Amino acid sequence: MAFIELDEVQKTYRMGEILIRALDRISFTVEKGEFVVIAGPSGAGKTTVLNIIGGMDTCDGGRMVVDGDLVSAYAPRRLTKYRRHDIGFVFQFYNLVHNLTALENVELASQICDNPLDPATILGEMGLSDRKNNFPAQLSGGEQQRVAIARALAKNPKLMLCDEPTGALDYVTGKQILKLLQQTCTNRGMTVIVITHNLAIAPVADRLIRIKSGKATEIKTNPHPAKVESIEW
Amino acid sequence: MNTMLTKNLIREIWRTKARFLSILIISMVGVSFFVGVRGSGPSMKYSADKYFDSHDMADIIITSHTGFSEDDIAGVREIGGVEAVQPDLSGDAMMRYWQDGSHHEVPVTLMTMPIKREEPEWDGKPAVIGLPDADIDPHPEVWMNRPEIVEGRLPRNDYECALDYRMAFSAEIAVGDVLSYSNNGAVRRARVVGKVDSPLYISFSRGNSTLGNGKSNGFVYVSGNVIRALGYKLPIQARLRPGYSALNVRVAGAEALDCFSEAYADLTDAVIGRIEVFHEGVKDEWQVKTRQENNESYANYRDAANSLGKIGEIFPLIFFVVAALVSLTTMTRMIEEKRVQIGTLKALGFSTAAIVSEYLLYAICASLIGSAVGVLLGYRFFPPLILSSYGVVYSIKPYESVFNGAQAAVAAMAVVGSTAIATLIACQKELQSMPAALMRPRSPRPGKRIFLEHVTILWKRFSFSRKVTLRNLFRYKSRFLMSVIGIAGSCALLVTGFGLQDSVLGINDKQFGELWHYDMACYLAKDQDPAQNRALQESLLISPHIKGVLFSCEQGIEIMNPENGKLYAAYLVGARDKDELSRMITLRSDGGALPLTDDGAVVTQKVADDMNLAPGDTLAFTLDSKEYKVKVSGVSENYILHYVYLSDAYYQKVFGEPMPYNQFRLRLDDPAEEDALARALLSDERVAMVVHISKFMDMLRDMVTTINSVVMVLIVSSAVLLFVVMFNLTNINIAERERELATLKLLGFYDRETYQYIYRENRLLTAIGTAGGLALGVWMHYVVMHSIEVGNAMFVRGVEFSSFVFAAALTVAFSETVNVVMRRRIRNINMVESLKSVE
Repeated sequence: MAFIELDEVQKTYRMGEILIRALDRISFTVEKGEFVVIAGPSGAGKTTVLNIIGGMDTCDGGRMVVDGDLVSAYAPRRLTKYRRHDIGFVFQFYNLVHNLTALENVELASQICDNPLDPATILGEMGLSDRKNNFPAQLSGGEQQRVAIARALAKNPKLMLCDEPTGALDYVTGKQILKLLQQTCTNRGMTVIVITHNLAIAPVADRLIRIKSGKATEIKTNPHPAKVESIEW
Repeated sequence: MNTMLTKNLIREIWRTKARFLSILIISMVGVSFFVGVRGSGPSMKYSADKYFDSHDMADIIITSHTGFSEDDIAGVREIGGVEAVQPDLSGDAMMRYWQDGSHHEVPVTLMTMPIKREEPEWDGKPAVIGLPDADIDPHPEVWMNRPEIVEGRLPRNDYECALDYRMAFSAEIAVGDVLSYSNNGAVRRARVVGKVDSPLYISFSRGNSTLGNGKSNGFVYVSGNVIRALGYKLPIQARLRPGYSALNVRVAGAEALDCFSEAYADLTDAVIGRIEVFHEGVKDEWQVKTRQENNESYANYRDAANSLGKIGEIFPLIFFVVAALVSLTTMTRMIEEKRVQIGTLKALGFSTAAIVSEYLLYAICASLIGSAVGVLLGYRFFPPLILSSYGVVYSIKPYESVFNGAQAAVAAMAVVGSTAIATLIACQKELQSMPAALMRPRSPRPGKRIFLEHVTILWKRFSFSRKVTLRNLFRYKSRFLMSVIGIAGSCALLVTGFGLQDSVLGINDKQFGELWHYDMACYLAKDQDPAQNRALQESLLISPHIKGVLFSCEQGIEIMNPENGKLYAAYLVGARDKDELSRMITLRSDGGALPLTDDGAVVTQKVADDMNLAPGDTLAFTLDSKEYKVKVSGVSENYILHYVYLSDAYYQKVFGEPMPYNQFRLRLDDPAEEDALARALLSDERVAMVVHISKFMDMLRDMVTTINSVVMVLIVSSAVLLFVVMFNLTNINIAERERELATLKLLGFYDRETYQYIYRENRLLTAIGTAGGLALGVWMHYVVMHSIEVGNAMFVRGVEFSSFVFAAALTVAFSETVNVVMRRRIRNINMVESLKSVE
């Protein structure tokens, strides 16, 4: 059975009299341990898909199953629990708490989980041992993103969702981050889904899903994904 | 102004209703309190002045032991400044009425209807001996101290009477009932034709009587003939001479003046001076008094009005300060939210003035509307509320609120002005930046180590959440400060309000529970030989129900404070039996009991404090126009009136003659025997008057009721202020931290945990603010107490512990209420939306 399954999922927004179909009966599956890239132009619905998979938003139609659970039927409080234990999120703009140090930011997440990973260790694995007592304002963009990844990982989630993780970073740092994500996927067997509008990243993925106008226009599996170092954009 | 900007403003107001309303409400509370409380004092005085004028109340009252003749009247009439003279006849009588199936007899004060007098021809002959008629004059030219008809009409002949409305009410006497009046063996019957109110009796107290139990139950208007027949209120010798018991004088030009003003006092004093000169050197002394010297209720009323004014001076300032702070924080937040819009407008080429005008107008609109509503509330709501509780005590009708346009304008301008200035300050930084800088989102405040972290021993022990809370508080220092100030200010106001209640209500318990232990004070008829006194003393000592008797001397003295010329009417009290005195009156100070020595006097606290007297100092006073000095041996705790206590030995030293005994005080074993005992005593020729201590309690009760209403108003306003401050600041707090809160929700924090994030901060702020507020409240209470201490009374100093608890509890309760109300706001933070924007 697929790890994640979206079946005819719909999401509509109403703005006054205008109806916007963000997701128009989209369907796809994701297997456990895959590195998935969801690509598409602006406004295609990529972020909406991520929000729904991540339990940040609910869908108006269709069903979504994650690891055998019908998440699309969850009530808000159950969704919170789902987010808490099963999901790790990484954003384009890091979203760290500015008043907490790097270590504390990771602790913030590990404190609320059942069996978290040790924050200091995780930070170390991200190469930030000597930066753990710095505030986000004292860290570079790449370092902040690494803290964010550490935070997501510390929760020991079932899957990691990354919304344009390299969007605010320069080319070199961006590649570093991508590499980190790929390693996480490979080494820990973590299912990682990355949203991007940059198709150049596609070769790295085990599975590529292209979304346009709220529908999945192309789903391709890649048995031999490329290494991050080899791609250019 | 540009129509687009106008539309923008209106939509903005509608969109941010809560914010607009909080500035509005704060302005409203501040202004209404200022205007309302400051307006109440003048309104009270204005209403009273109008009432007195409409009832033609006498400006000067002259009384004498020996009465007044027609010659006296004519003489006074001629004095410069005197517009009219009206003679008065009043007397005591026992009134018999029927209630609940039995006869009741109570002492009353008889007052005369206007007397028909022929203008005396000055023929140089001495006054006629014999009692001329005192028929009722149906159309008097002058009728001072005119009663107000509540029901029925006034008497027209010798067989009719009109009763004190309050007395009739409580005795259930109806118009048409026939009552009988008796005194000196004579009886007269009269039918009740009406019920009235008198301007001479504006509060509960009805004065003393020489009959019955010594307390007059009320007044009765009858024809002068009735009073003459029963013997009017003069010593025995004078009753054979014709005459009147008092003269009422109206001063020319006084009616046009406000009777509580300096101008009125000056005018009246001038005339009093002339009257005293007129009567100088004559053996039988005249007592020439102003309204407030003659009428205790009048003096109390005036003091109450003054004290209201004093409260109005201090408190509004605090409201203003808090209001300004709230405006500042609110507008700062608003401007921050609109950064991008401001930048855009600047980039489009709008001038600074045009951009600022939106925010200035927003703030000014809110505070202006708030002020307008505040003025309305202030005049419409506060005075009637305060005055209605005074109305329970005082019978002055109608109460009119005096609208002081200048005051209202000043209050409104102050509030609107401070809001506008706050807005400009908030705008300043943003407007100086370049458009590009504004359109870039503001970089979030960087996290910083707070000083507390360096105290590693402490910091290590803190839980993670506590660390976060502390860092957050210090990160937004200015909001932290404003919250604390706002909370402390409101809490302090609550402490003061509750503390005022304590101080005022506490007097009864202290004075009558802990200091005074006697039940009655009886005054001996004058000019008695000492042998009579001894016999009386012995008969009292063997009487049942009397636990203790103290023969004492009580004389009215006047103390003047040389620093400010303020006069105190005090009583010199002397006794020989020091043991019995200490059983009757507890003389104590913080240092313990004060014994009465033979080389000093014990002075009561209020006078001593005002004049900075300590043991060892000298106190000067006048008695019968002669000046004397005493050495202060102690200052005793005392809350009502002023006293100087000395032993008979010391009296001899000071006055050079033995102490005269004109009074005795009694301690009873059963207070219920009071009335019967008083009746028995008054029937004894040697006793002239009996005063029940319960009379004092009544006087206090009046004062207490009036202050209580003001306190209520204060407490409610403080509570509203506190709530608005906390609501507003928490709102802003959440708005600023929306992104952070969204991240938390996203990480999987349950709603409850997310609330805690904000709650912890609020609770810590509340704790700090409350602590500060309690301390500030102690000081504020002290200041207010000193300002409002009224004439004869001293309030209990200090605040009860329970008041602190109440104030703190209310503050915490409101804080928690705000927390609960904010839940919805936090719960509705849309994770997706909040995280979308560029950081």
